[in-house]
Amino acid sequence: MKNFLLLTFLLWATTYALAQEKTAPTNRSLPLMVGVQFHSLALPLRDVKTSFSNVGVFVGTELLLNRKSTLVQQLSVGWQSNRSVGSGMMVMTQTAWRPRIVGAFYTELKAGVGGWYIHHPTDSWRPANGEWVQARNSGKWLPLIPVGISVGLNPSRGLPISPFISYQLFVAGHYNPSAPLVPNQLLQAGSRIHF
Amino acid sequence: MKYILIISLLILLITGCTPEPFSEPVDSTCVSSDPINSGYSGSEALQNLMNKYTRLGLPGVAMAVYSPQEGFWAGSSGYAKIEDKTPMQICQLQYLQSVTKTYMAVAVLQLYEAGKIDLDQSISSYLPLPYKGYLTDSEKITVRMLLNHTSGVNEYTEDPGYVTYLLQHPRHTFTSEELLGFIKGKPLRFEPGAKYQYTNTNYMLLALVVDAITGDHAGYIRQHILAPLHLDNTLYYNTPDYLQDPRLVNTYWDRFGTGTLENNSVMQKANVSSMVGDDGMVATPLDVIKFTKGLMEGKLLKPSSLALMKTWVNDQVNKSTYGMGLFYYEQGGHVAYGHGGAGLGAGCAMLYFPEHGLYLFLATNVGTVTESTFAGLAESLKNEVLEALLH
Repeated sequence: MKNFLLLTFLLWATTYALAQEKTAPTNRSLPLMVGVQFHSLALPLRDVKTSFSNVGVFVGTELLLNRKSTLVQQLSVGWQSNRSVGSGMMVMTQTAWRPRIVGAFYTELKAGVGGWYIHHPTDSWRPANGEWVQARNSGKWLPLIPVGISVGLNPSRGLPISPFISYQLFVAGHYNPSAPLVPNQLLQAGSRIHF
Repeated sequence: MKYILIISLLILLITGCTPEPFSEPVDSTCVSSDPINSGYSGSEALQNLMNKYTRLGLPGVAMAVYSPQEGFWAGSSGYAKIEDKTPMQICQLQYLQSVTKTYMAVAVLQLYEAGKIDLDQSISSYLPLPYKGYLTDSEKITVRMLLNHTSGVNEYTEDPGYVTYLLQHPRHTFTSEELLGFIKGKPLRFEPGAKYQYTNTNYMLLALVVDAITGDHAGYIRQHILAPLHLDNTLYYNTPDYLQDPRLVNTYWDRFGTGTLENNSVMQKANVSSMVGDDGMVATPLDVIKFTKGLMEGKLLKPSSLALMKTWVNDQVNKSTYGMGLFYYEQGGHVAYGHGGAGLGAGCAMLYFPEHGLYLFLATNVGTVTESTFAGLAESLKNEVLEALLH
C-alpha cells in the first residue's frame, strides 16, 4: 500500500513538473487544500509502515503572510481513523516557511498547534448508579503540537493546483494520565486548488 | 486505477472507524471444587465491601482469605464481563501480573538449593549469547541482584518505543529479544548492587537464566511448584494458547483517564503472554492462597532459602522494601510479606500477615498500572479489606 501510494504520487508529480512551462507561480491566499493522510502513534520515523493501515482525510486552506509567498498560515480539519488507538477529528493551524528551491518545486517547514477529538476504539462503558451503561461516541480532546516538512509543486497559470506530500510529527497531550505525552506521525498527500 | 485507489481508501477509512472487537467469551458455568468455610465470620463484611466497590465502579472483584482459626473463604462481586453481565466467580481465573515474580523467585531458589545456580555468579555466565548482547555490563550483575532488584538494569516497560508500539499494536505479542531490544545499549541506571530499583526486566532475565539451566522455566515452575501443591487452577504457559481458557476473566481499562472503561481483553492477553518471569500467570484466588501458604509453611523451599526471600533491601528512604520475590509491607502496624500485581487490565495483591497467620489474595479486572479513578478504587478496596481483616 505504501509503495503503491508513494509511486503513484511521485509519477504524478514528476509528470506534472515536466509538463510545466516556466511561468511565475500564482500562489494566492485561501486555496482549498484537500488530501489523504496516514497516521500512527509512534516515535519519529519508526513504524512508518503501520501508518498506511490508518487512513484519514483532511481539508484546509492557507493565508499568505508575506508578498513573496514564503510564509503562510495554514488551517486544516481532518478525520483520522485508527482502529488501535482511536479515531477522531483533528484540527491544526500551522505557520509554514516555504522557500522555493528548484523550478516549480518547493519545500516547506511548519509548526503550530491543534486539537484532536479522539474516540475510544471500541465500545466503552461508564458506571452509573451501580450499573454499567454504554458510553456511546465518548472520547476526549487532546492538545497537539505538530511540526512538519513538505515538498510540493507551485501552481502554474495553466493548471492552478499544487500537489504536495508532507511528513508531520505531533505530540498529543493527555492521552492517558500515565502517558501524558504521546508521539504521533502523519503522512499526507494532497493538493491545493487555487480558484 | 484511480477508482480502485479511491475505493481502497474509502474502505480503509470506513473499517478504521468501526469499533475494534477486544472482548472475549467467559465461562459463566464453572464451579469451584475447593472447599471453603461458608460460615467464615468475616465473610459478610468482606462481601459487603466487594459489593460496595463494584457499585462504585470496579467491574469485578474476587478474593480469597485463609486464617488458622477459620480456614479458607473466597468470594466475588461484579462482573467477569460487563457486556453480557457474566458474573465474577471464584472459579474464574484472575491475572496475577507481577505476583508471578514470587513464583519465579521460588524457582530460582529451588535451583540454588539443588546446586544448579549460584546467586553470586554473574548472569553473563548463564545467559545465552543472544540475550547477553542486549545488556550493558552484564558481567557485573549477579543472580542475587536480579532477585532483589539491585541490578541497575533498565526497565523495558518505560521505554517510549515500547509504550508507543504497545498502544499502536495491541494484539502484538513481543518476544523476549524484542523486549530486551528496548533497553539495548542503555547504560545501567546505577552501579550494580548500589541500590534498589524495581524493574520487570530483572525477572524476565531470571526466566531466561532458568530457561538456560532447565530448558524451560515455565515447565520447571509447573513441575516443581504448581504440581507439588496441586495448584490445578494455576496456568503458566501450559500451552501456547493457555490464555484462551474460557475461565479467564475479561479485562478493562480507562484508556483516556476519563472514568470510561474499554474492554481490553485481547490487548491484555497479548501483553501478558509477552512476559516471562515478571508476569504471565493466571490462577483462581484460592490457588494463590494455597501457593503462598505452601511457600510460608516450607513446602517449596528450605528454611534458609525462605529466609533469603525475606532478607530485605532498603528503598531510597532507607525502609525495608524487597527481598527475593517478596515485598515487605507495614499496614497499620501489621507486618506483611507478599507482592502486588498491576497490569493494563487487572490488578491484584497477595499478602501474608505472619503475626496473624492470615493470607489474602484480592483481584480486580480493571487496569491498575495506569492512573485512573478505578485504580484508586482498587487501592481503597484493598485498604478497607485489610482494615476489616486485621481489626
